[in-house]
Amino acid sequence: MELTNNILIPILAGTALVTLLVGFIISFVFMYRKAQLNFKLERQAFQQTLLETQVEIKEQTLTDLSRELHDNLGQIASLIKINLSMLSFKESPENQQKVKDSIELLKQLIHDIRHLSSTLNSDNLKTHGLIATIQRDVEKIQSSGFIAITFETNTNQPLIGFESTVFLYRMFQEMTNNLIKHAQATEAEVKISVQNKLLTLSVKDNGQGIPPTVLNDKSQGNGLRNLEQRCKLIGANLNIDTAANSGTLIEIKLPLKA
Amino acid sequence: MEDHSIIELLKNVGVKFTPAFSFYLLVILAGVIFGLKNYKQLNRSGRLLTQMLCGVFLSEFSTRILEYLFSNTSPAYHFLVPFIIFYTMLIYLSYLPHKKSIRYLVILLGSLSALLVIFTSVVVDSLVNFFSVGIMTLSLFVILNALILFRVMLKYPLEVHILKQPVFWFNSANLFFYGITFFLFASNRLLQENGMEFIFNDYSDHIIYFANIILYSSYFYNLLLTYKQKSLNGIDE
Repeated sequence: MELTNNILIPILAGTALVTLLVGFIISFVFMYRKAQLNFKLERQAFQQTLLETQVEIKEQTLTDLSRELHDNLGQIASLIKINLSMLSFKESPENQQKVKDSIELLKQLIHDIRHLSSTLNSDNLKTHGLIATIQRDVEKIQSSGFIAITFETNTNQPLIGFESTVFLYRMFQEMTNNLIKHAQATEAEVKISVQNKLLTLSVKDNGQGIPPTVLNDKSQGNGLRNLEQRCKLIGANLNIDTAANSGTLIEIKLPLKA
Repeated sequence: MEDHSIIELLKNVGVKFTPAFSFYLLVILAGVIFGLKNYKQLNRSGRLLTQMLCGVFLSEFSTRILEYLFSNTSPAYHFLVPFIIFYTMLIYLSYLPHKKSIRYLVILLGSLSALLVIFTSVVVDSLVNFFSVGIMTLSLFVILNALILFRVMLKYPLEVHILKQPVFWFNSANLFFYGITFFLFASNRLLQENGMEFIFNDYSDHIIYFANIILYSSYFYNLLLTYKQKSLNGIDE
């Protein structure tokens, strides 16, 4: 009996000790993984807040700039135009022509300032809504004669918050800017559709396509990265379908809450 | 005649290297060779661990000669224990760069442990006596450091999978080995002081042997991971 105890006690105690130590280490592994997950979520939330703040600041800067253009520079240009109109050059037709030309240039400048001001200011979105603002922009591009561009939609007023509206509009601007600057396309179409609680904004062109170097460029200044970041912020998905000389289709799909 | 006596001497010393002990030495030697071969590529903790393993290897090797000469290996441990305390403290400090208060605590614990161990070795215990107080102090010091480091790891988790972090293997192996060692030595001393027989005698050697193999295998794996992922070396650097 004593012999059995002498064997059993050490074996049981040893097993219990090893089990305890191993159990502690295993439970530490699980606790660590939980801590890793929490840390990851905290960091994601922090990054999200940081991005939102950056976008807010950017939006505010654009609004301020827009106001400055409209209220200050635009007014000064208008005043110069009025002053020039009041000048008389009866004895000098040559000068008169120069003033006329200057007035024409000023008209163009005032027009451009107003256009730039309205493009930068997201207040227009509040007043007119996403669809009407995009439609107006598409018409402006069409009337410029730079590219044959069409607009199609199956909705008048998609049910999305103002923040998402601003984001979608800024993304549309980014896409059309890229289209005009880089795509070398002759035709393009812009579509906004709502189907099965999913809003899709797409821009398709018949241009040269996006080079792989640009697609894989991870730098902050890259327009495609900006699109990705903005999509992430509003919970949208970004699809880019492109090939050399076969055009580009960029789709943004935003799930609707209601 | 002289050649014959040298061969005899080597033969007698060689007998002390049992297969089990030789395997144990080989496990330590693997860490030593790997660490020295890749010394320049290792970070601070890896280099310190390599240096410590060199000391442990030499000390364990010397125990066979002591065993042959004096039939007593205890003197080696009187030198090895403060050596390990010193290096363990440095390694833990290299893994704990976050808070000054924690670093001071580790230094304080290390200094107190080293002083106690040296004092016991010089004044209280004889060199020929088994250095159980020293080993228990070392065990307690390492266990406390391991728990502190685990706590810091939970507070500052990394993205890397825990099993791929060298610091995890170092710390877990330390907690496992020194937890067992402390328990065995503490219970032995407690029973002896109460005039009872130590019932673990038959098993403790085997348990400590296997725990040693796990410890030095983990140290080796720590060096391997440190070498592989210099930039992802736990919370080091």
